[in-house]
Amino acid sequence: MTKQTPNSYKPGVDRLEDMNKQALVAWLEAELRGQMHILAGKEEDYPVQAIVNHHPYLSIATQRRVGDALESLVLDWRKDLSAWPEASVRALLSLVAELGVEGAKRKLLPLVSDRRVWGQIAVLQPAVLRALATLSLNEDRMFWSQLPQQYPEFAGMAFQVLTRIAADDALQLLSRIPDNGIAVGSVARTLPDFLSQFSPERTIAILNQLAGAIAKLSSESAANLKQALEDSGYSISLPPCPSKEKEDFCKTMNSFAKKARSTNRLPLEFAHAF
Amino acid sequence: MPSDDTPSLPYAEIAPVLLEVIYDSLFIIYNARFEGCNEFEMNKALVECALKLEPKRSTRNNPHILEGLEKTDGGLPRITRLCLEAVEHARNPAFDSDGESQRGIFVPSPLAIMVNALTVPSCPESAAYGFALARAVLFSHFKIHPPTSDLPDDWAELPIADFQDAIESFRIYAKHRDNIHHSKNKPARVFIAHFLAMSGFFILRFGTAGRQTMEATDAQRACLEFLRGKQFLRAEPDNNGQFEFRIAPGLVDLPDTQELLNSLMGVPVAIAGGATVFFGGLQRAHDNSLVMSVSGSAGTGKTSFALGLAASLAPFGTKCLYCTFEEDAETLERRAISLVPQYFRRATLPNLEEGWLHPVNLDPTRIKSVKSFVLEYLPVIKEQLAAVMKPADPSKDSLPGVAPVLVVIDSLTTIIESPETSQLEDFCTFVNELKQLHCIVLLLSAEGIPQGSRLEYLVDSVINLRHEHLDVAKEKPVRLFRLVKSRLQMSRPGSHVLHLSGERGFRISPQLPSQLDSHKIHKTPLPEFSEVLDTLRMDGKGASDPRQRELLNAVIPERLINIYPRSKILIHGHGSSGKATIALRILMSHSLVAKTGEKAKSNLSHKRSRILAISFLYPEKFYFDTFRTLSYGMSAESIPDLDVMALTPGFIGPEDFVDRVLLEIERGHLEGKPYTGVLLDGLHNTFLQFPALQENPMVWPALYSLLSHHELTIVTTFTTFSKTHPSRTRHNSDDEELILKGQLPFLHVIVQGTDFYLTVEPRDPKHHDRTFHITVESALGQRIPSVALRWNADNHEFEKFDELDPAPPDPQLRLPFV
Repeated sequence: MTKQTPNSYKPGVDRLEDMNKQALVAWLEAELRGQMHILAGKEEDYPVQAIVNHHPYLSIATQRRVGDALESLVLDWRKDLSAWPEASVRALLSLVAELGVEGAKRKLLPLVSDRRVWGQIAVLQPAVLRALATLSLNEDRMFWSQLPQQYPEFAGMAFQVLTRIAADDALQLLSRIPDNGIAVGSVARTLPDFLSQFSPERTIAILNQLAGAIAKLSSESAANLKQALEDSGYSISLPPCPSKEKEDFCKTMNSFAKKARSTNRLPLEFAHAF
Repeated sequence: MPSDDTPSLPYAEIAPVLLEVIYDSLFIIYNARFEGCNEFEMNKALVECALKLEPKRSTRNNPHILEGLEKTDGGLPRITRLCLEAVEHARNPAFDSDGESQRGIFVPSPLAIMVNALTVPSCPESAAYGFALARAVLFSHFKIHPPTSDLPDDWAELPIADFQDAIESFRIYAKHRDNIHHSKNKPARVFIAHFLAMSGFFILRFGTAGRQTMEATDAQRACLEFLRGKQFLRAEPDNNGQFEFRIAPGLVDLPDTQELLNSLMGVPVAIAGGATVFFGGLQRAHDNSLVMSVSGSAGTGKTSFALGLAASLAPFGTKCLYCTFEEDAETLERRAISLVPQYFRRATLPNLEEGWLHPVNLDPTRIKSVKSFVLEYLPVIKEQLAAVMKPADPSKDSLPGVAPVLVVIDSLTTIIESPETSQLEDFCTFVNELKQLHCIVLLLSAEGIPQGSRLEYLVDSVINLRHEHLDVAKEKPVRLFRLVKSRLQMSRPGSHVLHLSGERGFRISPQLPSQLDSHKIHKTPLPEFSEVLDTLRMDGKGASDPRQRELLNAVIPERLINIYPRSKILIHGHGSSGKATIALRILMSHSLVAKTGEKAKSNLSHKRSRILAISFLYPEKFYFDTFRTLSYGMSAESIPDLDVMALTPGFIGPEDFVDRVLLEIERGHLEGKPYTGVLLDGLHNTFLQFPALQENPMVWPALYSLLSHHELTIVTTFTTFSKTHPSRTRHNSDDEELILKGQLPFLHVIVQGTDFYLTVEPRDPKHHDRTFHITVESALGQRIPSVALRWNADNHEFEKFDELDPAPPDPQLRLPFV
């Protein structure tokens, strides 16, 4: 034990110290599924907070075993996504994030890259990304920079993470904010804090860069971002508002380009003839 | 692999199984022929084979392809009929025999049958979709493609010069009806030969391997192996070159090389009449771009033309960006829906539900100048299109698109009218950029593109639309489609008639010279002299009347005259003498072998006679009632089919009339039930009730010429006006003169064009019964009989032969031109 363990936590800490990895996996799964509680705590602490509360009083070796056990459980869930109740998965992901189980990151990333699997866990997507966000370091900046291309709705979260792990990448992302209400809202909330870390000269340059990006957004999104900045005391001069015609034109061109293709497809029966 | 949203080619789901059914059907037919199986057994096997197409009970179930599969009346399905017809048509022993025995085995291209099967019979223009698919199958199979900017890596390019050389070389062989060799060492030539066979210009011939003539059994085996091999559905490249090619029997020459180039490289035109006007397809420039200018004052149909073109291209996966300064997007979309052909809704044509039309409404009052428009909008277009117009994915099932993008600018009027020349210059920049993005660009404007401007040089094809006779109360307004220029390709310039609505919707009726020109390579079949129609002989009891024999000095002709199938017959005579009924009796009669009198082989059970009655006189009901009466007593299988085209008196123009008749004949071919006879009933009536037809002296020669390319027996009826028979003059002489002014030259044309000229006149003016004499005024290759056949118009019977008065007729009463 590394610290003075409070008396109320002692029985629980002792039990965890006595468990090997296999026992920890079994206990954690039961705990997360709400089948047993062996740790001290209030009703609302179970399961995540109670474990988080006890965690600092565990030995380093036991903490590592708990991390390994959680990684195993993540893998377990990934193998059969429907086998775990939603609440239990949320608890597992929270725990992974709270306890900083870095190894879990590698096990969660494949969920995001596989569109089919990602679609299966639609309701859990924010929770997975939150866990990844918490665990992310500078080395993960590529993942967060590319995420908005694949899933524009999470561009805001990507921006938030990048502001923490790679400020330059966050600035680059600002110039290609997708025109998505959720994303723009999220960026708007983070932006003032982010700007506060730069010198006044740099801030002006960033605001100019931002003005160009805002010009490409719909008038509603542009107004939201501008408002958020002005509320925090930043002034930004936007280029003249594009006409309704131009906006409609861009939208139509966008949907047109999504449909147009330079090739035709031949039935496979013929294509496989040679 | 290409992404899932790559547009499919038309009929992608049904085409493979359809081609399989065609190969199997041909195998059954040829095998039955070689084995001498009876027709009944063969037909049974063919019907079973066709059932592989599995009719589905959904709205989009391609009823034209599956026609006849659900019937239980013993009739053959359409696909079976098409295969049988194609095989029949490919036979041409006259040019390939050594006296008695036939040497070669002729087989139609299965792909050609597939194109016909995919075509909606009542809309022959829909052949463009099947054609595009079959062409893509050949491209993919041989991995050969004409020059294009986005060819997959492992494909070979077919240079235009090589194609032209090959065609000219084939033409020499074709003119001499020689075989065209199938050399494996020259895949491009094999590809071109297959392309011509797929287009119906060549057929396959088994019987020679290299320079050696094969034994009949070996040729039969090679033929069956080829059909079993299903060349375009399986990996085997071909049948070891055991066949050659030969020009199709119905042709005297190959089409013009430029027309073939348009078919090979161009965008197939799925607009009625479009293939004739644009010589087989819309040719694009080396960068796959095409700029067309369509001008015309308000209401001439520019927008409808643009939307109609866009709709017709949609099944190829073409997406249309429609920039309009005039109409709002919703109105455009609504107009576009009304221009989508009806058959689209029943066929599995792809890409129709996925937003083929993208209208953009631009407010001209807010766009300050063309320059500002170009500066503001062009980057958006470039950015978006550049990403999608990249080279083809070299994966197996992807090939260069038929026509990926159509951009319409509706309209340029304000730009052209602007006094600032820079406006036009700036617009040229815009068009140039679109060209580089491989787009088809359609520029609409009230006035034409200014002469000498840079824009004029950018435009490849110029079309002008006009609406004529709008301010003349007695004339029917007519829309004209004037093709002024087509720089990239050969076409048929001039004025053609354009329709935007009506029964068949958006279509072009090409001018008569163009229609004639488009059929110039087709052979004119001669009458079938080896057969004779079993008609114009005494019915029932009259045949054995002893007094008849006495009257005719014991020389009883079996028939008044021997009429051959596929000949042209004019029945000219007294009004209400039952000429239409006589004509129907001729057309309904079956043919006999001239030498033996036995039933001719052309009476195969699948090949039931089919008559088209084109009426200028009576309504449809008259013909169906008469037909029913005449059918009484005939065996069910020998009763022909009858279709009636009753023309309502009015202002139908020559182009539309000829177009409509040809469409009907074409429909017969595409249904697998070609017409065998045409009745043109009451032609004299055109002088009274069809003024637009009377005015054009080319209508009838053109119609006869066009019909003569088909294997048809044509009977024309024409009522004698009193002037040609002065004894019956009752009419006002001024009217007579007026009518005769046009009638005599007209009669001249008809008489000159006929093989048999029959007259029907009252037997005796003293008799007031309805019996008439049918006499022969001229007959192909036969002596004029000295007897007349008595015709009872009341009971529709040929009663007996009557000796004609030997005294020379009064020259006043002689009919003209005989």
